[in-house]
Amino acid sequence: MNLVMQNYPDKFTEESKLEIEALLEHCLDGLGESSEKFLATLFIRAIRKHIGPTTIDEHIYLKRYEVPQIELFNVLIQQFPFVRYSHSIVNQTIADIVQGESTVTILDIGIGQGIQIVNLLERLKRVSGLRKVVVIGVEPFEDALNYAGELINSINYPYNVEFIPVCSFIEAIDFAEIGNMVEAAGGPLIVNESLALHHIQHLNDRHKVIQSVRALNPKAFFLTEPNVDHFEPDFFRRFQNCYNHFYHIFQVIDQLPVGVKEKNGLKLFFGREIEDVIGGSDHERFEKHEPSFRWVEKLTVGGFKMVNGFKGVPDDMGYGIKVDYDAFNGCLGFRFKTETIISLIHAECI
Amino acid sequence: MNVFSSPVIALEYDDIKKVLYQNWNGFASSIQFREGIDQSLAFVKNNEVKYIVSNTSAQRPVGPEDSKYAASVMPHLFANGVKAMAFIMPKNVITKLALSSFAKDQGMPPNVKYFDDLAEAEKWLFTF
Repeated sequence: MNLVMQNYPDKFTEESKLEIEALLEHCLDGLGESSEKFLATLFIRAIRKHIGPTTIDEHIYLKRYEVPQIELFNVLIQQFPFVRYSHSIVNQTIADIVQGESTVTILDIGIGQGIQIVNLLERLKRVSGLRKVVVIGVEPFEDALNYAGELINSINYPYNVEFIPVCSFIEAIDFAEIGNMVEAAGGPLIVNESLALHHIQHLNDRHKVIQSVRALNPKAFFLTEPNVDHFEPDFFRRFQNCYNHFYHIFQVIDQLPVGVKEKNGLKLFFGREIEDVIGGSDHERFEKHEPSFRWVEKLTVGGFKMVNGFKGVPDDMGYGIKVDYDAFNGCLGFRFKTETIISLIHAECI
Repeated sequence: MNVFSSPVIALEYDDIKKVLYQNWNGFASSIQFREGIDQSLAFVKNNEVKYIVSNTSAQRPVGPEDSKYAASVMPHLFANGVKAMAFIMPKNVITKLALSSFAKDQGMPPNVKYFDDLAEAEKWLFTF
């Protein structure tokens, strides 16, 4: 991969192209059985437009590993420990916080198809005395938002549920309007975001969103974010960060109790993120992850303090993943070997 | 005896051992590479060459089309008296990968083999 990195973006000579082609051909042979080969292929694919055409079309090889999205989401939610446990820990912690409340308002930033919120609503069934939950779901993709609404409404709860869909990017939202919704709903406000804030393109917008959330005076603000610096503008550093991050993720995928087809489907799924992180120019990129300490910095500046109130943290997550609360950085990290893959942050207003 | 030389190849002939040595060096453009192959064939056609040692230890990768071209010339070499051919493997890992992949795709006859060093290659060649 050093070869690819050294020649990016416009130093690919005929010689280096042939070398990359040889490397790609080597990787494609036995692709499905080797994480390293799969990862290298995805990285080469990601910067393909800079390398230019070669005689090998890796898309044909990769296509055979595609798995229907619905199957992938099931694997991600049920088997992929970083998603499964982050949802479970945050949901259990929210359920603990709202004990004794009769009304709760949840602002779910990037609600997606509503998988996490439905699990949370399920868990809230055990909160005695709870009579009403208002869910304000923010999501820029209308189809996903509609699906989330249908999913929420398809379940019976022992309390009233009101779902307010807001189809927008969070940075484009009118927070005054959200404030009115929160005030009308009543009860303490819990704000949750899972893998959403890193899609905000500009730093000042990230600060603004966090400050706007702070102005809503939530009882708790939960963030779930990959702990990796893909905001880094320098390509070479970003490339290294990206390789290191996904190398560790792929090692975990290799251990999942699912078939080879699903494992490779998951790797291909993450290939789209790799393509975004290293394939696009800085203004085209969407997956701008930041390490957790930077989110903590923004939260601190915005008027939050980090707390370790997490509930339901498993003693053993399996797959060699360690879960530790990092008191210095104020986050709960899911670490595999030397890489903290994902972090959960629990913030409260100062 | 030096037979031909260019920036990417030196052809040397040992008329006692009847060995033609192809010493490849660095990256060859398609034209340069094919010139080296064509010069080798021309020499084989006009001289008594029983063995060829293709020393690719300092060679950089060759494109698939040029590799195919080289492969297409090999039957002509054997038809003109060459009994066996030995390749000295490239030191560059990626060139080695390319060569291995080429060998796998083409399928090598028993009188063509890859070696890490020259002495080993010659020892094998002279068994033919």
